[in-house]
Amino acid sequence: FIMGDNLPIKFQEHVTLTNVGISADNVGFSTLTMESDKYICVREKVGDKAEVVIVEMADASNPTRRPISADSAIMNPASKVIALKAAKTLQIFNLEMKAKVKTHNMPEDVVFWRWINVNTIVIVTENAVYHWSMDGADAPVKQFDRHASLAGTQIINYRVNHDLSWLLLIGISAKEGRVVGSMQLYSVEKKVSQPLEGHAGAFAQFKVPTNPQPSNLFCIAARTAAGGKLHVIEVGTPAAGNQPFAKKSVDLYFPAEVPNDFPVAMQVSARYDIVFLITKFGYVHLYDIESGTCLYMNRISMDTIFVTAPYEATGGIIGVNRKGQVLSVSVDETNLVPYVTNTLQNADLALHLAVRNNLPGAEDGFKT
Amino acid sequence: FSLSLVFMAGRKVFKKASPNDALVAYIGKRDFYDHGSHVDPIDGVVSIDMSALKNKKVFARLQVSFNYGMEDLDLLGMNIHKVLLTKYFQVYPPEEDMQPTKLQKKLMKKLGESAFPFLFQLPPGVPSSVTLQSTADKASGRRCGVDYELAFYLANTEASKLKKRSTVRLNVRKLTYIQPNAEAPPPSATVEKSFFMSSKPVIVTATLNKELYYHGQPVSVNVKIDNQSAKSIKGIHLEARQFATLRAQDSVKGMNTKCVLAAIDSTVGFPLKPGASTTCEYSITPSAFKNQTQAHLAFDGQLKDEDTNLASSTQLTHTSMDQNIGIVVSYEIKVKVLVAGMSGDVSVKVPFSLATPKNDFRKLSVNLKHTKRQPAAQQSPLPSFAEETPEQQPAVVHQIEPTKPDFNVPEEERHILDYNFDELEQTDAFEIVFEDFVRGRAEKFFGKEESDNEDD
Repeated sequence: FIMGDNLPIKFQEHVTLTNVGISADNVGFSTLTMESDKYICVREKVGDKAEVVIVEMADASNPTRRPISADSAIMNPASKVIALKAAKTLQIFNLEMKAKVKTHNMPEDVVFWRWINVNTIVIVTENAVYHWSMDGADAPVKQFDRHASLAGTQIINYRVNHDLSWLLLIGISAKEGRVVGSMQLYSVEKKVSQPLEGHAGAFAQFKVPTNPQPSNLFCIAARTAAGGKLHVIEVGTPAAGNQPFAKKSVDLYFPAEVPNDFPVAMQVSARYDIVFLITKFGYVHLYDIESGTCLYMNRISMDTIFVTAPYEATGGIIGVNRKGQVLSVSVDETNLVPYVTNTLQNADLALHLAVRNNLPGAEDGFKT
Repeated sequence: FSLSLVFMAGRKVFKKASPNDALVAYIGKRDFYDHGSHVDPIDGVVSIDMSALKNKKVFARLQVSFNYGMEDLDLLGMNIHKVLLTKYFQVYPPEEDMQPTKLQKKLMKKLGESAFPFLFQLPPGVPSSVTLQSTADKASGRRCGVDYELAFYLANTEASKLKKRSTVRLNVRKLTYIQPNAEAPPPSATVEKSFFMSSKPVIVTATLNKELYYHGQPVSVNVKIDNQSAKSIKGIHLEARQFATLRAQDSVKGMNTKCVLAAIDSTVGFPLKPGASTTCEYSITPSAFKNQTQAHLAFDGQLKDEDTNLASSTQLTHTSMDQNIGIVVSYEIKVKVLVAGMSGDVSVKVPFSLATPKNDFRKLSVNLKHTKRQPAAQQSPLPSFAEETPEQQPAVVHQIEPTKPDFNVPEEERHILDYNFDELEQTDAFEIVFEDFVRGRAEKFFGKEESDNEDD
């Protein structure tokens, strides 16, 4: 792929994990986790000893290793706290304080878990979804029972909105020659689940300029038998004084050379109100959340990017591909507005983005 | 024969230097007792090489840490610990109102002007030194227990990072002394159990001969069985059991361990027919040595690989201190009466206390281990005895005839020495014998040298 001077994104390669002592065999969904842009956790076998390698992104060339006997390791998104799981046993350690923070034995096997914020872990079993706070002495608290439509799927992600009132469980399964995404959207307030077809999803708060309060938006990307779609919809009742957010639905474009591609990851940049979408075959798509317009798409990796997180430094997205490259994509503040004006030929959107995000490049637009 | 004579000849003082010899620490003993009302002051002196000071101060630090990582239970290989207590004492420049103890006076007189005293006074109820036995690979260096460490170091402020070259580290122990209470009634418990299809119960009463036992003492258990049921009683099973609860912090559910220390199975006098009753007497000895390999067994704080006793029963203060106790240890005798048929057995549990006799002299001096006059056949089965190589032997070997081949099986409560260094004051005729520790020996005796990085 070619990165020209006038592209609306910045692409950065942070580190290649195989260059800092991590075996390529261990760069994969089941052995590598990245809960935030701060740490990457890799489980490795050295001889007959199992180790966890913690790569602190601020000092990526000096990973630390510790012996473990766990089948999963996830670093807290913000602090030097690691959660480990071995079948039903869960333990949280504070690496800096050298303390065991918490321990719990689940009654059933844990099929998926991750940190959903700085002090909460989601635990997904075959039957239900739990939230476990690392504070206090509480055991994991059940949030909802899993919907039958996700039975037999591989759970690949779990998302929550800003106040944990909307929860989303995502699983995939192979059906009729394609990978089907199954989602369960759950409203904590209404205690109701809704099954959906979709591969990647995320929640966002977006303030419509004419509304007094931000709207709670849910973005869902799916490639169904009928084609690819991105939907941006408001969940719940609009806040007092707000006009409802008008639902946006746009086609997801998949090039002919990758007929089996589908979305795998989504991060919404709160800084730019832009949806970053990553596909199985290494494409990145950028969408304006307000209008649903596709701003840019390009292939950034020939290898599957199997894990992503928000890239806080730039309001972008960071991920790891099968080769062990840690990559980030961010908005190029200088080029975005001129790109929308010139390449997309959408002067209205360019002006709108410039005003909304305080970006340069729309001066010509003001003159006309 | 008087044991006290043994110690009149020379008062042993432990001595250890920092790697650069700037500081030399002297302590009179390694074991400090919590008497319930007070804790022995932890005192000694530090001899300072004034030319190494360079405007720095000398501090002493007492740190009580709870290492509660369990190799076989934790998913992460890490020495996890919590500092339960840190106390500092400025050794130099000295505090003006410091009143030296008898030991300190004696040592300062002997060592001269560059020796300065330090003293830590702990409140009663701080956790005692306890080590949980790990069955895991010892090479990992991970251990579980409450440890006391003294550190002496050159620094600008007390909280400065410790530098290995100018630091002396000594592990000491805080042990629990339990005053025997002659008026306490012997512990006893009764259980009544009725069976399906049988209107009358089996009544079992177990009574111990006293509440408090010293290490190695047998526990006499009197068992009364009144079999009013229609079932026959086949036999009896007794266990001496130790319980330990790890309390690291409120949010982590404490781990509980249970170890069977000794067990007796008997059918003598059985079966006991329906309607019959009997009284039998059993003797069971809770012993550390039979349980060397049992995982999670709690010992009185272990210094390196040295032999030690089973952990003394924890004396809870029933104050907020108990929340932070580290490892809580308790004991009980369980008597199980085995009832014929499928209807289940009758169990009764009686708690008792286990304690270290005050100033167990065996722990006070390494030299006792080198008593060559002890016949081989009578050698105490302590594994560390044989590990000492001849060149590690100290200069002075006390002339001691041990009273018993195995100190852990006293029949009577031992004669208890009260060591308060009174003898030091009386006359200069009583010599101080310095136990000098060179690197390898010190490591064995006081524990591993820590690395420069405190956080490793």
